Amino acid sequence: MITLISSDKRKFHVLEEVANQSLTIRDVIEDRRGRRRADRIILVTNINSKIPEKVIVYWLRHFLMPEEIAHASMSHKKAEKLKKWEAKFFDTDIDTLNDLILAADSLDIPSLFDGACEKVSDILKNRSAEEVGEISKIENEFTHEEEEEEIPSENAWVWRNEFA
Amino acid sequence: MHGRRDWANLPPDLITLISEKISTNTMYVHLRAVCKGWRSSLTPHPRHLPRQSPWLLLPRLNVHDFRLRFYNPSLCKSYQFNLPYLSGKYIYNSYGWFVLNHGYRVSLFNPITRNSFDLPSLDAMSKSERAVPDVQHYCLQKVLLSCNPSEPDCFVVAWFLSWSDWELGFCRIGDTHWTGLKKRDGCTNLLDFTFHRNSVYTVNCKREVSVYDLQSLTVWTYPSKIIYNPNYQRINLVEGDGESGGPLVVSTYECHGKINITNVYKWCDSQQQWCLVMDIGKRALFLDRFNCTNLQLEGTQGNAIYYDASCPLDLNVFRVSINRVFLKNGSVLQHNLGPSVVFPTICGWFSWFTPSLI
Repeated sequence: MITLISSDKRKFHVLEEVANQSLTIRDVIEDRRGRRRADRIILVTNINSKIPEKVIVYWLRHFLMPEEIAHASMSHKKAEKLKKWEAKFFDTDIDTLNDLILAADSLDIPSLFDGACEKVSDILKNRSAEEVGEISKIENEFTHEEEEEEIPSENAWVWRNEFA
Repeated sequence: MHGRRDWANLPPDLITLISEKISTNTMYVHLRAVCKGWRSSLTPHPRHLPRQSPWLLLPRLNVHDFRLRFYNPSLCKSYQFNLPYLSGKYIYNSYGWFVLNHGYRVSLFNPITRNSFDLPSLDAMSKSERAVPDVQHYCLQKVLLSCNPSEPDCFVVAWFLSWSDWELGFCRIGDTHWTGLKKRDGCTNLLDFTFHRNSVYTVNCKREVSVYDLQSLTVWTYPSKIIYNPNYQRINLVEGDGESGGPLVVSTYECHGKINITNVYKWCDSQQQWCLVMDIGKRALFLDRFNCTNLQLEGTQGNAIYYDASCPLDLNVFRVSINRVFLKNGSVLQHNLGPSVVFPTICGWFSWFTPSLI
């Protein structure tokens, strides 16, 4: 059993085999093998407690069928089920997705990272730059010149519809 | 980050990884315009994008017309590019690049990125086989690329109208001359050619198939014939899908200026003959008068052939429309482009163009 501590000091106890899905954690455990019990505590300071909860839920779901995933020989039905589950899992607000991406990146969990990025790109799909800016609450910070001249002139066609 | 959610401050490598999930260049351009941080993190020339859903290139009014006008059926939008550089040049397009020919000079030009590459001039070729000085012996008929020329190992194959014993020549980016592909018996003319797995497949007017390997410069010829009537039908060779079997042939005929599809055949390497196909899976063929492109596209109905079926509404107005032929049963459906797609009357041929950001 290992213990994860989030930035707001909450503790999460996870089976080592489950947490091993994070390559970062696996390396840390490997490094500290044979040492004292206290070394089985891992600080995940860059994420708040809501995210480890989600990450652990994700791990547990994937832990139930590790071999099938590794060998990509999952039966069609199981794959469908997992797909449905993942769709539901990632069906969350864009801020949580941001946190999940950062967590998946720092903990090195490729499948979680891919899933979250996929969902973000789904959200961004068929939206204009302005809409994306609004959803993600980004200030564009472009200078007047960039906004008026440089950006539109580079790929002007994207913003146009000539003969309509 | 301590709970501070900030999309603008995502590390550049993360925003790059997210952008790699994006599959259309329109989306990608929008993503780059979201904020300063994203703009500097994302390259203007992404290499991960698949071949894009094609635009219909409208005919030019004349050879000096430097406007390129496109219609994008997937977004129902039209674009106009003013490119005085193109004036007076013959153009043909492949992989989103125009092949420009002006006199002896040949070059590749991407209208989206405005990048260009020079190709060997036709001059050098004429000099090496000089017969009558100052007469242009070669002119371009059709040019195909094996991949995007910004990728390594791109071959350019050109079909010349010439008076020598070869009609096909190829070069790579940076070459100083064209290398000729000799005709087998020196007299049979070409009907069409295409690329397939870095080999050039040709069909000549005896309906024989020849396969040129561009690495070893070897050629195999097979006597197998396509069933079609050369009196009123024409054939279009199409690249294969890279997985199963060889290239395809679409046989068509024209009636009152409109294209009609008759059959699609696939070259079977094992049997060394053309086999009729009714199913090309999720892939779609985009046919025009000069070429036919084989693409697998997200959200486009596959197993079909798309071609231009535009018609004049009156003397001044032209409505763009596209026909879709289902391979399974041969039924034809007019692709709905919405009510407002009208252009000033034009004459000439439409062709497909797959826009590329690299």
